[in-house]
Amino acid sequence: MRRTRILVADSLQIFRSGVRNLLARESDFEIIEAESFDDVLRAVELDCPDIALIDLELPPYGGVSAVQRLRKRCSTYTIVWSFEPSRETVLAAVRAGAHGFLHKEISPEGLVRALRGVVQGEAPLSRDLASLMIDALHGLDERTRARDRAGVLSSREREVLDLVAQGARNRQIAAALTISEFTVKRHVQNILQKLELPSRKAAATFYRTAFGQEEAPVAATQIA
Amino acid sequence: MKLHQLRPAQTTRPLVAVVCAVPLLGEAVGSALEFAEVHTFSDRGGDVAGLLRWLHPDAVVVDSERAAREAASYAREHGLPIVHLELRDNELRLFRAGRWEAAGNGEGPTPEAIRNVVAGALFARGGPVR
Repeated sequence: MRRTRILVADSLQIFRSGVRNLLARESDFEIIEAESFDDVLRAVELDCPDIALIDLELPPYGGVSAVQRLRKRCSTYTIVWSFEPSRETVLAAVRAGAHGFLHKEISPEGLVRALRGVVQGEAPLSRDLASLMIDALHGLDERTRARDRAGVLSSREREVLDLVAQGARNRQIAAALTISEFTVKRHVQNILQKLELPSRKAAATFYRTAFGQEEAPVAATQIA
Repeated sequence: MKLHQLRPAQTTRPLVAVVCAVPLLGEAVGSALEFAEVHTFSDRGGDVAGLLRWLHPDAVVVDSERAAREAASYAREHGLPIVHLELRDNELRLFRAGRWEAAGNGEGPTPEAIRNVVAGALFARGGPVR
């Protein structure tokens, strides 16, 4: 019988050891260990594992990055695990290509079940993590809708809105963009009209929903 | 397994209670302490001091702040060493003679460090043999 090769990538030896001891009792698993992503690369040089169990904090770039990088080399099933999964980290891992996400507090039996399930095409995700991910996807939908709406703005209006969201006053925006205060005021009025928003504050909230902190949609102009 | 079967009536090996919120640690600690009789309990917010009063272990290993605090209240009276695996900070702490101290030579909670710290604490307490 071919054994399922599992790569346990975790900087904490105690976890690697726990998984190794647990799976040593099962005849269908073979374990490889890595304490950093460099170790992962060395481990997959000759042969890719069937499953990689990757710690969210795996040095040096973190587990999400490790999943992305590993995907470029192997068609391994990847599972990220963590002490304190948040909806953002679960979603980031899944978007990076992870096939599942587990709590480190998982029971030994639960881990064995999850690993066997992965081989059969299941996505290991506990009920609470599934709810977190759905919440995150809803947030993503809201963001996508807001970005679509923002598409009606000109690039100048988006620059102005970016500064409004940073809390800048018209005078500061005028100075930052080298335009008159009157023009800024006109841009703000147009923004509110186009987005059908009642106030400057609502526009700032809208902007944060649409673009959050993950990227600057236009040349990032900072208020001095 | 029934409760009375968990507590060995007679053993020549030290009895170590492992109270873990992260069950996989029990797997690692159990095999690191091959010289001891290890009993692993899942820490689900229960009465740790009560468990220790019932079990009378020679040493305790815990992985949560709460369990460490509760175990210390019992250990203070009975001169019991407690080893606390602080996973988030990658540190190992030892409770003995009524106070906590860093342990493990900065290695963090590796199986080897846990074995050395537990064995050392047992010897310091008067030998590993019950």
